Amino acid sequence: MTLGLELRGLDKSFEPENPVLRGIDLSIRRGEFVSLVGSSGCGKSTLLRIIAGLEQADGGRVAIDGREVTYLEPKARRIAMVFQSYALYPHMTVAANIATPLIMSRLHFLARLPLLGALAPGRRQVRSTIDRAVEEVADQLEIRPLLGRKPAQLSGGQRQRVALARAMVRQPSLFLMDEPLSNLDAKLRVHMRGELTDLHRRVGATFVYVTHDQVEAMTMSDRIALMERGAILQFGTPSELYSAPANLRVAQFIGTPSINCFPAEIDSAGTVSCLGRPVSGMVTSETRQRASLAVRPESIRLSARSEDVVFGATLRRIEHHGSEYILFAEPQGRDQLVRIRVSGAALEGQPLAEGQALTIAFSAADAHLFGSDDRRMDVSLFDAPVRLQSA
Amino acid sequence: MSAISLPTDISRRRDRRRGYAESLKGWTFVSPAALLLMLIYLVPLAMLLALSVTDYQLGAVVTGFVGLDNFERAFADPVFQRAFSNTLLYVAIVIPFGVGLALVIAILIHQRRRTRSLYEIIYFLPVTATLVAMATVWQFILHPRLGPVNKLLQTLGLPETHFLSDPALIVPTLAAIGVWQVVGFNVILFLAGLTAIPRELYDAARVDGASAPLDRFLTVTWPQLGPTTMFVTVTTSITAFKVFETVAVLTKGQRGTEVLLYAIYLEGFQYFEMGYAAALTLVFMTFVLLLSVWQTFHLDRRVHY
Ligand SMILES: Nc1ncnc2c1ncn2[C@@H]1O[C@H](COP(=O)(O)OP(=O)(O)OP(=O)(O)O)[C@@H](O)[C@H]1O
Ligand SMILES: [Mg+2]
Repeated sequence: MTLGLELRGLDKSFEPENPVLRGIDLSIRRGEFVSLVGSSGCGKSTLLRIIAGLEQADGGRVAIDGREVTYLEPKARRIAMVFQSYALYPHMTVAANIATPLIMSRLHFLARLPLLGALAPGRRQVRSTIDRAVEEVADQLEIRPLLGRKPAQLSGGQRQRVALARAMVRQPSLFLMDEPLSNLDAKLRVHMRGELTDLHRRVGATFVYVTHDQVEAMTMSDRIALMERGAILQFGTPSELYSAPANLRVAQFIGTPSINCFPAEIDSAGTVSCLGRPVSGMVTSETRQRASLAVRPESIRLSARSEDVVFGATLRRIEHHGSEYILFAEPQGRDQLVRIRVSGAALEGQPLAEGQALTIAFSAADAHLFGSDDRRMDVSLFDAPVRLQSA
Repeated sequence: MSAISLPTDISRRRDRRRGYAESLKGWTFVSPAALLLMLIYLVPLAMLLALSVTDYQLGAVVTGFVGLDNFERAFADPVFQRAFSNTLLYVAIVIPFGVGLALVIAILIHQRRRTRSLYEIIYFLPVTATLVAMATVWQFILHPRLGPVNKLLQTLGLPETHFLSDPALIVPTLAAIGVWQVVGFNVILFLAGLTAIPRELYDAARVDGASAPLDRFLTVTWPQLGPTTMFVTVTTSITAFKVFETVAVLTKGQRGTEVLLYAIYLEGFQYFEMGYAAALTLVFMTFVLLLSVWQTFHLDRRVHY
């Protein structure tokens, strides 16, 4: 099966001493919805622009649908792009905006000229097929009544749809979107999220979607590529990124509230200890280094089981989130707030007050171990009936 | 009822008094600006109107009311008619070339990175130079025997050309100098317009297939420059209508090269016919005003979206 998009060893720098992309490799299946996520300035837009052909990479290859396109102009790549600002032509009506890609590809240069064009042979037939295509797309996106308006007369959500229509009209095999929802208000954004997912299902094309919003990435994507400083840290399904982060920074980026990190050490025998206490049953093959133990807020419990890692802590803050609570607790002797997610039901009949003492615990099976280079470390777990006493 | 009407009566009177105080305060705030506006614009305009219906001559003791005689005389005056058609020809050359050339130059400069400001300075220099002084330079450049232009024509085997004395060439030559003078300023205006075009629009056009320079120009640059082009066209035409210095220095209106402003100058300050000159000024102003208003409304409808 050919790949929808294949990137091999893409490098890019605008200033020699400051590489923006460093050896990007990515294989995206045909019809897949892939998100590029990462913090601001990590090179997402640059990567997307290289895929589109708007920017030339310093090295590496781009292939779309099995066809090498590294040196092709954007229009020859069978792609469409939706920009953050929508980039609609403000002087054209909605219909003319949507028709532009078809006019450019189907009408000869002379036939496109404002006055002379009317004389070109065959122009009438081509124009009418274009008009029909525009109306068809407008119907799909329910913007038919807007076709006669100018972009300035549209709301943000309507402009978004027009931009989508302009992208869809020439039926590209690859859709590129650079933060298309970031200019919309929160409610509309959630709504458009659903519409984009539907659209992806209907057209069946490959989507590459840039966002810095992890919720968008988690909810819409088949797979997520998480970028940092010009490199891809992990490429996998949303659940892989959440439950088996390959890198400490992936673990920290994905999930709200974000994951708890505790400093850990590994001794010469490969035994892991956290905050000075050995973690029962956790052993790794690598030895003698500083490490981090990361635990999701929902994996931290307020009652200890025998094999758990246990801390004494003080409750500092309680946040109500409807069906659940987020607790912020300060472990004794540490300047750190541990985030704990508990369901409302679990707290029933157990009233909590800020300032009260808590026992917090997690089991080694729920903890992720990351080495000093932030890479995930393999651990072997076995049940050790040793109870570690808290300080 | 009276028990109720009494307090409302008082409060209404109080309201009215407060209203006077309020409007007095308003007039106080407005008065400095209003006064300046009167002194600088409205009073001279009114005096011009008044003068234009008299036969006032500079230094004359008696001045009489002549009604619209001055205007009738103007439209029958062959000199004024010639000045009018000369000015129209001048404007008809300066607007398309002054705007079009500036647009081309601005687009070329805009693509430069490091040398952009150098070119900006070079093209802006004529704007800062005094036209009267530069006119003498042009006189030399275009001199039939000594000027470099004619030297060049000679080496190309072309006949000696009298740019500033051949009646058919004088107005176009003056217009060329006029273009030279306005282009720099227009280039700066167009550069500002070009800088304001969002980069994403060019990117979108490229993805849509408009990547050839002319396609890009027609899809993005030209429509986006609409408001700038309108402004440049209106200011250029006003500047062109006011052509004076080059005529005064280079031809002094001889050989039928009067232009409107020069004709007014002759009537008013050479022949001291102030009443007549005032009437000509009024005609000139009305014409420029009408043209500007027409341009603004006509272009405005096509430029703004
Ligand atoms: N044309 C350019 N010239 C020089 N540097 C650039 C250019 N475009 C981008 N950069 C730099 O490349 C880096 C990556 O930029 P990019 O726009 O790809 O980030 P991003 O991940 O899209 O960020 P954001 O989430 O804020 O949009 C930034 O440091 C930016 O300053
Ligand atoms: Mg970006």
